Amino acid sequence: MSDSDARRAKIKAHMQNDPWGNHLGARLEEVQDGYARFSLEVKPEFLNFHGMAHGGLIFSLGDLAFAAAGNSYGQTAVALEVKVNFVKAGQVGELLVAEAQVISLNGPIGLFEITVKNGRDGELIAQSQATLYRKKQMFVE
Amino acid sequence: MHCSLAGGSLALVANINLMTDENNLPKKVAQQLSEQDQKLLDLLGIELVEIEENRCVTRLIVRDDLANSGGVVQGGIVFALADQALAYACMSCNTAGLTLSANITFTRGAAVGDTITATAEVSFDGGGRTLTGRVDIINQDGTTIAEMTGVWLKVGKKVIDE
Repeated sequence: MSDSDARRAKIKAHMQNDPWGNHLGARLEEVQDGYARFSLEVKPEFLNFHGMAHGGLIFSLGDLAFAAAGNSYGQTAVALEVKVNFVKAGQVGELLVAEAQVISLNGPIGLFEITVKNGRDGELIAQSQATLYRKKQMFVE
Repeated sequence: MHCSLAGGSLALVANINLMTDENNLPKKVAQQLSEQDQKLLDLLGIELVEIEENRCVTRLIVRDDLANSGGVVQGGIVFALADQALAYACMSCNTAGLTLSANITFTRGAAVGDTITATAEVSFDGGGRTLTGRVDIINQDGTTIAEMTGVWLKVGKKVIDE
Protein backbone atom coordinates (compact mmCIF):
# COMPACT_ATOMS: atom_id res chain seq x y z
CA MET A 1 0.00 0.00 0.00
CA SER A 2 1.45 3.35 -1.02
CA ASP A 3 1.53 6.34 1.32
CA SER A 4 -1.35 7.97 -0.49
CA ASP A 5 -3.42 4.76 -0.33
CA ALA A 6 -2.76 4.50 3.41
CA ARG A 7 -3.77 8.12 3.86
CA ARG A 8 -6.92 7.58 1.82
CA ALA A 9 -7.79 4.52 3.97
CA LYS A 10 -7.34 6.62 7.12
CA ILE A 11 -9.63 9.34 5.82
CA LYS A 12 -12.23 6.77 4.80
CA ALA A 13 -12.08 5.07 8.22
CA HIS A 14 -12.62 8.45 9.89
CA MET A 15 -15.74 9.05 7.78
CA GLN A 16 -17.17 5.61 8.45
CA ASN A 17 -16.96 6.34 12.17
CA ASP A 18 -20.04 8.59 12.00
CA PRO A 19 -22.63 7.68 14.67
CA TRP A 20 -25.60 9.26 12.92
CA GLY A 21 -24.70 7.78 9.53
CA ASN A 22 -24.27 4.35 11.10
CA HIS A 23 -27.53 4.73 13.01
CA LEU A 24 -29.33 5.33 9.71
CA GLY A 25 -27.52 2.45 8.03
CA ALA A 26 -25.86 4.71 5.44
CA ARG A 27 -22.92 3.23 3.54
CA LEU A 28 -19.90 5.14 2.28
CA GLU A 29 -19.45 3.71 -1.21
CA GLU A 30 -16.59 5.83 -2.47
CA VAL A 31 -14.49 8.81 -1.52
CA GLN A 32 -11.92 10.64 -3.64
CA ASP A 33 -10.46 14.12 -3.43
CA GLY A 34 -13.51 16.41 -3.64
CA TYR A 35 -16.00 13.62 -4.26
CA ALA A 36 -17.98 11.13 -2.18
CA ARG A 37 -20.91 8.77 -2.63
CA PHE A 38 -23.18 7.39 0.10
CA SER A 39 -26.14 5.05 -0.19
CA LEU A 40 -29.07 4.31 2.11
CA GLU A 41 -32.19 2.19 2.03
CA VAL A 42 -35.42 4.00 2.99
CA LYS A 43 -36.81 2.25 6.08
CA PRO A 44 -40.42 2.63 7.31
CA GLU A 45 -39.28 4.85 10.21
CA PHE A 46 -37.81 7.35 7.72
CA LEU A 47 -41.19 8.27 6.27
CA ASN A 48 -43.20 11.41 6.83
CA PHE A 49 -46.98 11.74 7.15
CA HIS A 50 -47.33 11.48 3.36
CA GLY A 51 -45.63 8.09 3.39
CA MET A 52 -42.62 9.45 1.51
CA ALA A 53 -39.04 9.74 2.70
CA HIS A 54 -38.74 12.66 5.12
CA GLY A 55 -36.87 15.71 3.84
CA GLY A 56 -34.63 15.52 6.88
CA LEU A 57 -33.58 12.01 5.90
CA ILE A 58 -32.76 13.02 2.32
CA PHE A 59 -30.91 16.04 3.64
CA SER A 60 -28.98 13.86 6.09
CA LEU A 61 -27.85 11.46 3.38
CA GLY A 62 -26.74 14.34 1.17
CA ASP A 63 -25.01 15.94 4.13
CA LEU A 64 -23.06 12.73 4.80
CA ALA A 65 -21.80 12.78 1.20
CA PHE A 66 -21.07 16.51 1.48
CA ALA A 67 -19.14 16.00 4.72
CA ALA A 68 -17.10 13.15 3.23
CA ALA A 69 -16.32 15.05 0.01
CA GLY A 70 -15.58 18.24 1.93
CA ASN A 71 -13.26 16.46 4.35
CA SER A 72 -11.71 14.22 1.69
CA TYR A 73 -8.48 16.23 1.68
CA GLY A 74 -7.81 15.38 5.33
CA GLN A 75 -8.47 18.98 6.33
CA THR A 76 -11.29 19.61 8.81
CA ALA A 77 -14.22 21.27 7.05
CA VAL A 78 -17.59 22.39 8.41
CA ALA A 79 -20.77 23.23 6.52
CA LEU A 80 -21.67 26.91 6.20
CA GLU A 81 -24.84 26.77 4.15
CA VAL A 82 -26.90 24.26 2.22
CA LYS A 83 -29.71 25.08 -0.21
CA VAL A 84 -31.75 22.01 -1.02
CA ASN A 85 -34.45 21.54 -3.66
CA PHE A 86 -36.70 18.51 -3.38
CA VAL A 87 -37.96 17.44 -6.80
CA LYS A 88 -39.33 13.92 -6.30
CA ALA A 89 -40.44 11.71 -3.42
CA GLY A 90 -38.36 8.82 -2.06
CA GLN A 91 -40.32 5.65 -1.30
CA VAL A 92 -39.90 2.98 1.35
CA GLY A 93 -37.58 0.14 0.33
CA GLU A 94 -35.83 2.31 -2.25
CA LEU A 95 -32.07 2.66 -2.30
CA LEU A 96 -31.08 6.33 -2.32
CA VAL A 97 -27.66 7.36 -3.59
CA ALA A 98 -26.13 10.69 -2.62
CA GLU A 99 -23.14 12.15 -4.44
CA ALA A 100 -21.24 15.28 -3.52
CA GLN A 101 -18.83 16.90 -5.94
CA VAL A 102 -16.56 19.87 -5.43
CA ILE A 103 -17.25 22.82 -7.74
CA SER A 104 -14.76 25.30 -6.35
CA LEU A 105 -12.13 25.53 -3.63
CA ASN A 106 -10.82 28.98 -2.92
CA GLY A 107 -8.92 29.59 0.29
CA PRO A 108 -11.00 28.42 3.23
CA ILE A 109 -14.28 28.34 1.27
CA GLY A 110 -15.50 25.41 -0.78
CA LEU A 111 -18.56 25.18 -3.04
CA PHE A 112 -20.12 21.76 -3.67
CA GLU A 113 -23.02 20.27 -5.55
CA ILE A 114 -24.96 17.43 -3.94
CA THR A 115 -27.45 15.16 -5.65
CA VAL A 116 -29.66 12.46 -4.16
CA LYS A 117 -30.95 9.98 -6.71
CA ASN A 118 -32.97 6.83 -6.82
CA GLY A 119 -30.45 3.96 -6.97
CA ARG A 120 -32.64 1.90 -9.31
CA ASP A 121 -33.14 4.25 -12.25
CA GLY A 122 -31.03 7.26 -11.33
CA GLU A 123 -34.01 9.62 -11.11
CA LEU A 124 -33.24 12.84 -9.27
CA ILE A 125 -34.86 13.23 -5.84
CA ALA A 126 -33.06 16.28 -4.49
CA GLN A 127 -30.30 18.63 -5.50
CA SER A 128 -28.34 20.98 -3.27
CA GLN A 129 -25.75 23.66 -3.50
CA ALA A 130 -23.59 23.86 -0.42
CA THR A 131 -20.69 25.85 0.95
CA LEU A 132 -18.18 24.88 3.61
CA TYR A 133 -15.39 26.42 5.60
CA ARG A 134 -12.03 24.68 5.82
CA LYS A 135 -10.29 25.05 9.14
CA LYS A 136 -6.53 25.17 9.47
CA GLN A 137 -6.33 21.84 11.26
CA MET A 138 -5.78 18.51 9.47
CA PHE A 139 -7.51 15.47 10.97
CA VAL A 140 -5.27 13.20 8.84
CA GLU A 141 -1.76 14.46 8.07
CA MET B 1 -53.50 35.44 9.96
CA HIS B 2 -56.20 33.40 11.66
CA CYS B 3 -57.35 30.08 10.43
CA SER B 4 -59.68 28.91 13.17
CA LEU B 5 -62.08 30.41 15.67
CA ALA B 6 -60.20 29.06 18.63
CA GLY B 7 -56.69 30.22 17.89
CA GLY B 8 -54.00 31.21 20.32
CA SER B 9 -50.83 29.76 21.70
CA LEU B 10 -50.71 26.56 23.64
CA ALA B 11 -47.97 24.53 25.13
CA LEU B 12 -48.13 20.88 24.25
CA VAL B 13 -45.34 19.10 25.95
CA ALA B 14 -44.95 15.52 24.81
CA ASN B 15 -48.21 15.77 22.91
CA ILE B 16 -50.26 15.23 26.06
CA ASN B 17 -52.18 18.49 25.86
CA LEU B 18 -52.92 17.80 22.22
CA MET B 19 -55.81 15.66 23.30
CA THR B 20 -57.66 18.32 25.27
CA ASP B 21 -58.85 21.24 23.18
CA GLU B 22 -61.17 19.92 20.52
CA ASN B 23 -61.91 23.31 18.99
CA ASN B 24 -58.32 24.23 18.33
CA LEU B 25 -57.54 23.48 14.71
CA PRO B 26 -53.72 23.78 14.81
CA LYS B 27 -53.65 21.39 17.75
CA LYS B 28 -55.93 18.89 16.10
CA VAL B 29 -53.87 19.01 12.92
CA ALA B 30 -50.65 18.58 14.90
CA GLN B 31 -52.11 15.64 16.77
CA GLN B 32 -52.99 13.87 13.52
CA LEU B 33 -49.60 14.65 11.98
CA SER B 34 -47.62 13.54 15.00
CA GLU B 35 -49.48 10.22 15.13
CA GLN B 36 -48.48 9.63 11.52
CA ASP B 37 -44.94 10.85 12.19
CA GLN B 38 -44.38 9.01 15.45
CA LYS B 39 -41.66 6.65 14.21
CA LEU B 40 -39.61 9.49 12.84
CA LEU B 41 -40.17 11.69 15.88
CA ASP B 42 -38.95 8.80 18.06
CA LEU B 43 -35.96 8.12 15.81
CA LEU B 44 -34.71 11.67 16.32
CA GLY B 45 -36.22 12.27 19.78
CA ILE B 46 -38.14 15.30 18.47
CA GLU B 47 -40.60 16.83 20.90
CA LEU B 48 -43.39 19.11 19.80
CA VAL B 49 -43.30 22.05 22.20
CA GLU B 50 -45.79 24.59 20.87
CA ILE B 51 -48.23 24.79 18.01
CA GLU B 52 -50.46 27.66 17.00
CA GLU B 53 -51.60 29.23 13.78
CA ASN B 54 -48.64 29.57 11.42
CA ARG B 55 -46.11 28.83 14.14
CA CYS B 56 -44.54 25.71 15.62
CA VAL B 57 -41.72 25.00 18.07
CA THR B 58 -39.83 21.67 18.11
CA ARG B 59 -37.02 20.53 20.35
CA LEU B 60 -34.55 17.70 20.74
CA ILE B 61 -31.63 16.73 22.91
CA VAL B 62 -28.51 15.80 20.95
CA ARG B 63 -27.99 12.10 21.66
CA ASP B 64 -24.61 10.57 20.88
CA ASP B 65 -26.11 8.70 17.93
CA LEU B 66 -27.17 12.04 16.38
CA ALA B 67 -23.61 13.34 16.22
CA ASN B 68 -20.98 13.06 13.53
CA SER B 69 -17.51 11.60 14.02
CA GLY B 70 -16.41 14.87 15.62
CA GLY B 71 -19.06 14.69 18.38
CA VAL B 72 -20.96 17.59 16.79
CA VAL B 73 -24.62 17.29 15.83
CA GLN B 74 -24.98 16.21 12.21
CA GLY B 75 -26.36 18.89 9.89
CA GLY B 76 -29.19 16.61 8.84
CA ILE B 77 -30.51 16.47 12.40
CA VAL B 78 -30.69 20.25 12.65
CA PHE B 79 -32.36 20.32 9.25
CA ALA B 80 -34.86 17.59 10.21
CA LEU B 81 -35.80 19.41 13.42
CA ALA B 82 -36.27 22.69 11.55
CA ASP B 83 -38.12 21.06 8.65
CA GLN B 84 -40.49 19.37 11.08
CA ALA B 85 -41.30 22.69 12.77
CA LEU B 86 -41.76 24.38 9.40
CA ALA B 87 -44.02 21.59 8.15
CA TYR B 88 -46.31 21.80 11.18
CA ALA B 89 -46.42 25.61 11.03
CA CYS B 90 -47.31 25.51 7.34
CA MET B 91 -50.00 22.88 7.88
CA SER B 92 -51.42 24.45 11.05
CA CYS B 93 -54.40 25.82 9.11
CA ASN B 94 -55.21 22.29 7.91
CA THR B 95 -53.55 22.58 4.51
CA ALA B 96 -51.44 19.53 3.62
CA GLY B 97 -48.28 20.16 1.69
CA LEU B 98 -44.56 19.60 1.40
CA THR B 99 -41.23 21.40 1.43
CA LEU B 100 -40.23 22.52 -2.05
CA SER B 101 -36.90 24.01 -1.12
CA ALA B 102 -35.03 25.11 1.95
CA ASN B 103 -31.90 27.11 2.59
CA ILE B 104 -30.13 26.47 5.88
CA THR B 105 -27.18 28.42 7.26
CA PHE B 106 -25.16 26.85 10.05
CA THR B 107 -23.72 29.42 12.42
CA ARG B 108 -22.51 27.30 15.34
CA GLY B 109 -22.11 23.65 16.21
CA ALA B 110 -24.06 21.83 18.92
CA ALA B 111 -22.50 19.10 21.04
CA VAL B 112 -23.83 15.84 22.45
CA GLY B 113 -26.09 16.70 25.43
CA ASP B 114 -27.12 20.11 24.08
CA THR B 115 -30.82 20.93 23.71
CA ILE B 116 -31.72 22.52 20.39
CA THR B 117 -35.01 24.28 19.72
CA ALA B 118 -36.45 25.22 16.34
CA THR B 119 -39.09 27.95 16.06
CA ALA B 120 -40.82 28.07 12.68
CA GLU B 121 -43.12 30.80 11.43
CA VAL B 122 -44.97 31.28 8.19
CA SER B 123 -43.49 34.54 6.92
CA PHE B 124 -45.60 34.94 3.78
CA ASP B 125 -48.99 33.57 2.82
CA GLY B 126 -50.57 35.32 -0.12
CA GLY B 127 -53.43 32.86 -0.25
CA GLY B 128 -51.94 30.96 -3.18
CA ARG B 129 -50.37 27.53 -3.32
CA THR B 130 -47.00 28.46 -1.88
CA LEU B 131 -45.96 29.73 1.51
CA THR B 132 -42.61 30.91 2.71
CA GLY B 133 -41.39 30.25 6.20
CA ARG B 134 -38.41 30.93 8.37
CA VAL B 135 -36.98 28.88 11.20
CA ASP B 136 -34.63 29.96 13.98
CA ILE B 137 -32.66 27.18 15.65
CA ILE B 138 -31.09 27.94 19.02
CA ASN B 139 -29.26 26.02 21.73
CA GLN B 140 -30.10 25.92 25.46
CA ASP B 141 -28.27 29.25 25.99
CA GLY B 142 -30.40 30.97 23.36
CA THR B 143 -27.48 31.16 20.95
CA THR B 144 -28.42 30.77 17.30
CA ILE B 145 -26.91 27.63 15.78
CA ALA B 146 -28.70 27.77 12.43
CA GLU B 147 -31.24 29.72 10.40
CA MET B 148 -33.47 28.30 7.73
CA THR B 149 -35.84 29.69 5.14
CA GLY B 150 -38.11 27.46 3.14
CA VAL B 151 -40.69 27.41 0.38
CA TRP B 152 -43.72 25.26 1.03
CA LEU B 153 -46.21 23.91 -1.49
CA LYS B 154 -49.83 23.26 -0.57
CA VAL B 155 -51.00 20.10 -2.28
CA GLY B 156 -54.69 21.04 -2.15
CA LYS B 157 -55.69 18.52 0.50
CA LYS B 158 -56.69 18.81 4.13
CA VAL B 159 -54.82 17.03 6.91
CA ILE B 160 -57.99 16.27 8.87
CA ASP B 161 -61.71 16.37 8.12
CA GLU B 162 -63.36 19.47 9.54
